[in-house]
Amino acid sequence: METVLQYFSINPVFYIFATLAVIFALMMVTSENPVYSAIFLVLTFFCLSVIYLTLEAEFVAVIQVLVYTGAIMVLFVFVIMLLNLGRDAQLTEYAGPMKYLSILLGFAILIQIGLATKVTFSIGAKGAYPIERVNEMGNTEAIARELFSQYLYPFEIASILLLLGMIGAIVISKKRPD
Amino acid sequence: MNTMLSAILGVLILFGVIALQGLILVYMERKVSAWMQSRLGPNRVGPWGLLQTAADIVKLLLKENIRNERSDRVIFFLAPILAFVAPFAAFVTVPFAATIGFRDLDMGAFYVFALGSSVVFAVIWAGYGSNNRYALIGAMRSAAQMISYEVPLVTAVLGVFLVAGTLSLREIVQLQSQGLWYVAVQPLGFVLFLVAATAESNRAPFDLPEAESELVAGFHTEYSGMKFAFFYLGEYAEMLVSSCVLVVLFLGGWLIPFANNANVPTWLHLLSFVSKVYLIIFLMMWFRWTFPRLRVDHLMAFGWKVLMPLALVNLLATGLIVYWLKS
Repeated sequence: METVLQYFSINPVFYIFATLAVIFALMMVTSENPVYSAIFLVLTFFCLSVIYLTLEAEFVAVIQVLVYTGAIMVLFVFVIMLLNLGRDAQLTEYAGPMKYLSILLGFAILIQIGLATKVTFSIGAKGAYPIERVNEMGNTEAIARELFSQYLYPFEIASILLLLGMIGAIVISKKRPD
Repeated sequence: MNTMLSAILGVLILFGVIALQGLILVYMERKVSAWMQSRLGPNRVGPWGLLQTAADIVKLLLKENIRNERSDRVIFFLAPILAFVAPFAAFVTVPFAATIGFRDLDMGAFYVFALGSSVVFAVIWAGYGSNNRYALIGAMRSAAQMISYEVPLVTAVLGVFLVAGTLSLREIVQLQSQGLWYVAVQPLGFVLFLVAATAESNRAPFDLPEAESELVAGFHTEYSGMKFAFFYLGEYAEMLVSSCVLVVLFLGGWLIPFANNANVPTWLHLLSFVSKVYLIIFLMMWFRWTFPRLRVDHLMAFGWKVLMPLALVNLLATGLIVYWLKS
């Protein structure tokens, strides 16, 4: 108990919002009403964005809200409401034995992530962009510099993928069954 | 702890100021509309009817809080709160004067847009939580409108960021003190932003959510009393935020035109900022009593087929010119 309090006093904001994020994520999975699921996912995203803020990654935090909650989740909720999946429509699907396999796989991924953070990252190490330099040049500029120089091709490929998705959606919606 | 205390104090002051602004804006709206229609407007409660809006608030407070029996209690309760909190929180990064403002974020402008985009949830939740067909359909209509106009809104502003080379609102104002205001550099962006911001805060002629005469209002059909007042206040807060951002991005923020801004006392800067914001708000009210309400399909077509291409052309041209000037 004492160690828990010790950790908590170092960074209370992180622990509060990390706990909330986990709780909301669990409620998102377990709630039977899809509209509630969407709401809990939005709340999870907000908590994540606060965690990014405590890491001084302001740009990522703002983009998290702008893109995930402001755009993607709004479209999710839109689709849920358009398909009229509210209230009475309970998405209970029979998963069968696959359920146990998925639990197993989930734990495997969790252990893998834990091992990866333990082995490859040493937390607090300084890379090319330590916090002092990022604060000096600004969050946005630091990300832009990397994104548009070293990671230009992956960035362009990702944008082409998104464009393809948009064109695909337009083509599918234009096709009339006659 | 001291910073915590000052932050709480600041939030309380901000809340008071915005609530007061809400009262003033409602009064101003009525007086402006009366003036444009050759009427007198409110003139019974208090001198020149100044206390009319205060009386209205008392009326709203005393009204019965009706909740539909089969409505969703939690969502129904949360929606009006979010509708007010999101635009309220956006004020954190607005620089009111050279030394007044809460915190200058590195990407302040994006922060404002991110919070603006969360208002859509308030609308959707209100419509869903009411368990009323009219409210649900109205919410879908409003959400579609807000999503559609958010895209040209942000795209129109990208030109300013290209010229300024920063996303920080305070720095953008400081850059404008050295040269032309960005309304002269980005006239098309200014017009696009003004139109899109009017639509984004659901003001006439884009006020389909409030078309009670032909569309049974919208997402707030089932709301009454104080909850309705929160939607109302949220709309005015949103209008204030978009006017503040517009003034900061295009009209030089707190700067006083044709004057040396170096040795001016802070209260004059603040006065300049507030008067510019009120000028923009007056413009929005002028829109309301000039243009008839758009039909919903015209509204969507206007957003996607007129505003959006213009914003893209503006962005492309600005990018090319900035690139050409820098190389």
